[in-house]
Amino acid sequence: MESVLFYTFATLVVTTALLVIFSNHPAYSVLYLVLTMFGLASLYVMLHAYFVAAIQLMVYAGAILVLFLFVIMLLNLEREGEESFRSGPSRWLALPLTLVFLVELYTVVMQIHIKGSKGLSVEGNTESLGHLLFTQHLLPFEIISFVLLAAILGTTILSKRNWK
Amino acid sequence: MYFDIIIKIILTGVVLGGALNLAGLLTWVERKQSAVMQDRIGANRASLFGLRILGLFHPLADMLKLILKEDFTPRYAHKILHALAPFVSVFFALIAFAAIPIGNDFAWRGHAIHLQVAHINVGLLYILSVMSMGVYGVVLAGFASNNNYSFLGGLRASSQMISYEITMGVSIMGIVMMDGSLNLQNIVQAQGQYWHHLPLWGIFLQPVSFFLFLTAAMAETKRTPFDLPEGESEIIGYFVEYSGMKFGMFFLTDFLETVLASALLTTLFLGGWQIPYLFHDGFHFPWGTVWIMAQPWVILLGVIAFSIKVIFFCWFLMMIRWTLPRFRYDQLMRLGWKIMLPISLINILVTGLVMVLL
Repeated sequence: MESVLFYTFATLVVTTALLVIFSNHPAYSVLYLVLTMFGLASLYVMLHAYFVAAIQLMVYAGAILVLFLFVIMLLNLEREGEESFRSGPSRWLALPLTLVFLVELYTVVMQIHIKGSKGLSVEGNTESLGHLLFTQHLLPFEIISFVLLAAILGTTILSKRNWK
Repeated sequence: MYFDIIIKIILTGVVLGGALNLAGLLTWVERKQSAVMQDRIGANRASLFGLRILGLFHPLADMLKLILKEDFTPRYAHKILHALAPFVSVFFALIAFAAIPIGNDFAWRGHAIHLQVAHINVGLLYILSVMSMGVYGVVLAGFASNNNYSFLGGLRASSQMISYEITMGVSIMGIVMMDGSLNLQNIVQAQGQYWHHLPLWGIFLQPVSFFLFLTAAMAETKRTPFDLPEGESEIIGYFVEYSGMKFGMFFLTDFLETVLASALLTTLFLGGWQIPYLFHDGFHFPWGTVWIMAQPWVILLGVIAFSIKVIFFCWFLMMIRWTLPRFRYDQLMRLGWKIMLPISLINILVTGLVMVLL
């Protein structure tokens, strides 16, 4: 039962991720990316990481991709989209960049030793995550929030400058 | 195994049927309520075998009309997305009901039965994320119609929904902090405590958060004080290119979201299925009277209490909808970002301070 579900959602993730790249219309790409996020969230649910799954849906599918869709719809990329990321001179950069990224990914993945997750209790998932965030990883957590604050202030200042 | 599955299927049927029927009935309530408030008679024409019963057949007649109407798709629309959008809207409004507890947990013949379709650890986050996914139906409808007016309506709707989702999520954090759980069943059970015979419901502990959540939930339903995305009467909204049952589905989504907002308000602030002084073995009144009741009756009373509270909030939201005029767009954004969000953040701070000091 569990492996059937896993392969269903894994196929969904891989297929939609490929469709993101191969679909012609940027808006359709974003919609396929939403489906990818759904598949990933279901995979998290199967790992009993309910909190991560819910946050995945809320932040990525519910907020960030909506903004992507906004930008694509507002700029009306239907016509220009084709040129800008398929046929311009930038496409020759794609292959080396992808290679570098793949090598990086490979080295990182090889360094991880995956341990069994049996130590985590299923019920206390949110609690244990919160506990870790506010004890062991407090400093990185605070630094990330400062980075985000800087980003918010930066966009505010940029938009105000154009406004005057 | 099979027993549990059968219980879940029955429960799903009850919750789904209850939500859909209540949403359908709300179309009638809306017409009658507005009629009462504006000193009219209201819908009373539809009749079956000469029976009128206050126009109760109007939802059926409306539904029949919507199904039989021509289903028109504009020539230059994105056909698949245009057809998909209303289904996306209704789907996300419906699956949000899965995490709402309609009654207390109990044991029957050695099986633990949760009166909650999906017993999720992070139920509250699940509902918030599903509600935020509802934006896609609106955005898709605006985009796929290939019409500038519906596109602008879609943009208005999604910016409004995203703005108010933030306040909605932040405002209920006070409740989560006090009850220490994201599971809605635990939140309801925590509201069964008493402080000098006053039931510790969310509305007494977090009144500020109640009003913030009420306002944000009303903005999420896209109904009248916040109906800029739709603006049926003069500005046209994201579903201007829809007809027949697809238009009906967008309308159904609004009513479903009203029911969902009522159910959430009940669960978080009005004690869900809790009845004051009703414990698991019967009533224990503060003046000493005790009524002993069998467990099935206690559970049943809880479910009935939950339904009554939900219906009360549906009526209340309906009354607000026919009382207040529409906001202007800049007022809407100012209310969301400059008034409600800071207040909800301060609310979290005050709640934390009080919890540390007490």
